[in-house]
Amino acid sequence: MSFWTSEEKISIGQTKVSIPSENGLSYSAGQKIDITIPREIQFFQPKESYLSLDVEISLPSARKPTRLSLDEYIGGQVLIKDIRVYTQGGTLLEEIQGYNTAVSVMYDYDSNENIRNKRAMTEGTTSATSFYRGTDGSTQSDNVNHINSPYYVGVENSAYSDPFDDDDYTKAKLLLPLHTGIFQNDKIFPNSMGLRLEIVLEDNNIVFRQLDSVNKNNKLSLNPKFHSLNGSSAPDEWTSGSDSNVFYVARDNQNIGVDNFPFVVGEAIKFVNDTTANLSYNNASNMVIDTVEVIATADDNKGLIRVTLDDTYTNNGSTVFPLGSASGECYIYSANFDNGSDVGVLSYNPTFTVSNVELIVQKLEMPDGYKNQMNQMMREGGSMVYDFLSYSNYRQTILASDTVANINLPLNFSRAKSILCVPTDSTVRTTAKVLSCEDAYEYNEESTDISANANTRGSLVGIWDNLQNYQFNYNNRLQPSRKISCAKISAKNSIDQQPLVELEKALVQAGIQPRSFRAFQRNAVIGRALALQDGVYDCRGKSFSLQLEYTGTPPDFPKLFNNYVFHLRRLNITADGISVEL
Amino acid sequence: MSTEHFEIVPDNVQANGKVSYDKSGNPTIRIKIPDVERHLLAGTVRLNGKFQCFKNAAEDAPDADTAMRMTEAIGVYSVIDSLTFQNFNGQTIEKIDNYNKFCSAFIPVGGSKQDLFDSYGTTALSMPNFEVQRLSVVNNASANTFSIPLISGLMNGHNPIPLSSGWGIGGLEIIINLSPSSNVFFSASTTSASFADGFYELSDLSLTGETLVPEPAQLQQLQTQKQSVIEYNTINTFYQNINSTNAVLSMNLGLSKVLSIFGTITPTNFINNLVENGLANLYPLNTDNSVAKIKSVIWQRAGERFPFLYNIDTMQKDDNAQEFADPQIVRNFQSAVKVFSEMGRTNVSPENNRVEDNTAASLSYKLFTDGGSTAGIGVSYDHISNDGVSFKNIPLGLQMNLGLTSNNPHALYLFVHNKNTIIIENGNVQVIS
Repeated sequence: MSFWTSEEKISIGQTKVSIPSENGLSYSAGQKIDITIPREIQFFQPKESYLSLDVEISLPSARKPTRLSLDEYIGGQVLIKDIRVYTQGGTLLEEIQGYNTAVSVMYDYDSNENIRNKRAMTEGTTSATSFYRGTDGSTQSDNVNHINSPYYVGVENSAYSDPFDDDDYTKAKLLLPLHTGIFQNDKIFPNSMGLRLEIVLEDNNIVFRQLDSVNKNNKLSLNPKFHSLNGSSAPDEWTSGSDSNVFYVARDNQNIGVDNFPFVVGEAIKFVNDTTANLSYNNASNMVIDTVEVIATADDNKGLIRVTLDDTYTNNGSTVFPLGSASGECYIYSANFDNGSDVGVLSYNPTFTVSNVELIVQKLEMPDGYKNQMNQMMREGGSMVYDFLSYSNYRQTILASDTVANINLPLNFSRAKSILCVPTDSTVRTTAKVLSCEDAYEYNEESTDISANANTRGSLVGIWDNLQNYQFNYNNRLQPSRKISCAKISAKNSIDQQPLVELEKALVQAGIQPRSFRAFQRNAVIGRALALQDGVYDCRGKSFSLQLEYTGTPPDFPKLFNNYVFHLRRLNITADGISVEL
Repeated sequence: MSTEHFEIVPDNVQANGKVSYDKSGNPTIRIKIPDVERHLLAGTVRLNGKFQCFKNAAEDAPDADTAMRMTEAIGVYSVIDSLTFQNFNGQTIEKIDNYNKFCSAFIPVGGSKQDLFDSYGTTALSMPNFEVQRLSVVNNASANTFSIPLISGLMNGHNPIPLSSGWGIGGLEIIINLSPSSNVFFSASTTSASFADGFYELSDLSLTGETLVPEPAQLQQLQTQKQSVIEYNTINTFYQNINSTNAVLSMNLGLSKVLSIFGTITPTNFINNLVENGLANLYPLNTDNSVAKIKSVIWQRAGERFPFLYNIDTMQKDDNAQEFADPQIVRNFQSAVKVFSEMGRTNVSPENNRVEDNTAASLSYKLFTDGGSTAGIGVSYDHISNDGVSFKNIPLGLQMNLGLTSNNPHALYLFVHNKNTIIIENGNVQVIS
């Protein structure tokens, strides 16, 4: 329906009701949230219903502060690990394990600037901003917007020295559409049996992200750059072995005001040379920011940000060369997780609290004639059929040492549409390792980003990890008839087109609009459409497996394969009850 | 049936063909589409012409030192203050007041940033980058050409409009009231001294479009029909003032099929002010330019909460330090224009929807990127059946709690999206709202 075009349809009353969660007021990682849509709400529109919640991030005690947010691409959806939808009578209608990984696929591949902005305004994702943009040729990042974040307050463009702490984190209100089969269906849902939702929250080490603009291992060239110790138009170096408690920051990457500067007061920092990768560090403790201000007279009255440290530090690492040095320029990075020269080794355990959880339901009042007719048909032994496109996750693991793997999938759906296999990194990682991306999978080697781009999302997304080719085998046939090569994508410097074409078909069949493939490296997905157009595939009684070959460079990571099988489900609703037909 | 193109010039322009609110003293454009035995293909209608800006009465073009800007997101739509469609008997069929204000809310919500670059950019002289728009349109020493659809229910409803007085509406007159230059232009800095007498001028205006010529047999059928009905969705504008921490508004809309309502807020001292942008859509501001954060919004019908059966309490109610736009406010505002879950094009983003003080230490609203500020409130009543909700004899209520603690009156423009019906019977036209 367009804004201006008038169409004649049956009049349907529409209101929005708020249904609070029923088993608590606030929730933390790993806990379960129960919500019931009572059968008194006879009809609702699932696609316009959504989960509303507040989330607040807490920094770990006795650790340095930094700006943290939820996952930049899926926002608050990362908090949902598993979701189950029952009737009030207890009949399971759908269950999705690894919900946030599935949403990562949806949001990475069904994406454009408009949709990303919409998610940023309502779901707690973050998007690229002109107020912190790369000016040194870095690739664009969606995780640099510390200026306007729902999770913490920004700073004004004036000198400040108040340490960043929990008081600077705010409650973010998030409105999350639920990406389950029922709640993404645009057909009106007959709620004659009532619905009960069980939502299991994700663990702390999965959900948090640190800004790309302070990270050493991802898009390093987006970080602020050391200018000098003197802030002069003839910048000087911080010589190894010399002392200082102050330094100036180059204007690169839009570091032109205090509010643009991505580090916070109280944050531990170090410098890394972009050419030699040498670190400057202080063994006793990392350097800590005390004051951030703009000195308008610096650099021949062009102005520079000046950072004052909380103490005078001796640079007992390599020399920090000034801007424009032939010996390499030095970027500043967050060292909150580092112990001297060991990166990402400190425990760092931020937490989140979810509160004010409500399901906002678009309640519909159908015309009396419609309801009476339906009730009469039900009384006379009729049934109502409700079809929706749902998905189930069949998980399998493989070891890092498995160079040839065969993943069996015991599917039993009569109307399957497609399968999306997401090989996630199953390495057990601490939050500090996830935040610092230390030892993480590197998904490409973009030279303008200086360092390779590391997986910032831990075990949430798929990794190619040197996969050479794959092939499905179902109905006793290899499908497609040739192996699908992924060698070029795995090499991180080129593209294999066939797996992406296969993926595009599979996404379409899964009801996911494949608007963007910009995530093809950082979120590996193996897709196979089991039918085309409106067709379906009957998996019952047929073998089904995925064959993988990691026969080139050996893989580095153990993997958990989340195999999402999209299929049509049917609810048969009668006066006596409800049954689910797979 | 065949189609024919037409080009009609306004019937009230002066001999030099130029129209300007400030210079020519002729702030109205009237264009008549004649009473003929045809249908007007309303979707094809475009207003064409040239648009030029001057920084002073001597008609000097703005230069690099002139701080003259206009609302970059809507371009030439800024100059239309009201748009009226009436038949030759003077019966008003559709009228949208504060049209430029409506466009400044509607276009960024319903169109994308890419639209501002290309489709609106090439036809309406918009541009998401305010400096590019200033340099390429405002500072252009030559006149800029434009060709814009007249965004309205009658023109965009995709109904062929019968023009005949025998079996149709009886000719169509389009009346465009222009906006004063002081509400079109504003200063890029804190002073308007460099363009104190600045004004805009339209020239070479014409209306183009297509008509549908019925076959003789079909024409005979049309001539014998007793009644025909045209339905379209339109906008009715309501203006209210807010100047307290608890804004309670009650309005009799007199409309029977309201589909949605959306509203935008501007400090009243910004209106018709060459320093400030009277078309900016902002969160309320106090006199010290600190943002007066909205704490809650309650929409009512007949004194009861409707359609939200709960209070919309914002993040700022719990934590006044929160500077991110409340997602409920944003979502409901956008939903009033298009079903949120289906919205694939919008220019509302964290870049331009910010709960921000209007100070140099923060970020002045004039420096918001991607088309400028997009704040607003809204509510959708019916996006399924398109039948709407009646406010014919039932008052609309709106309660807003906000941090407006100083004496700084704000204009609240409410745009009511309503279904209209035109009944044409024996040459008589009746419009039912």
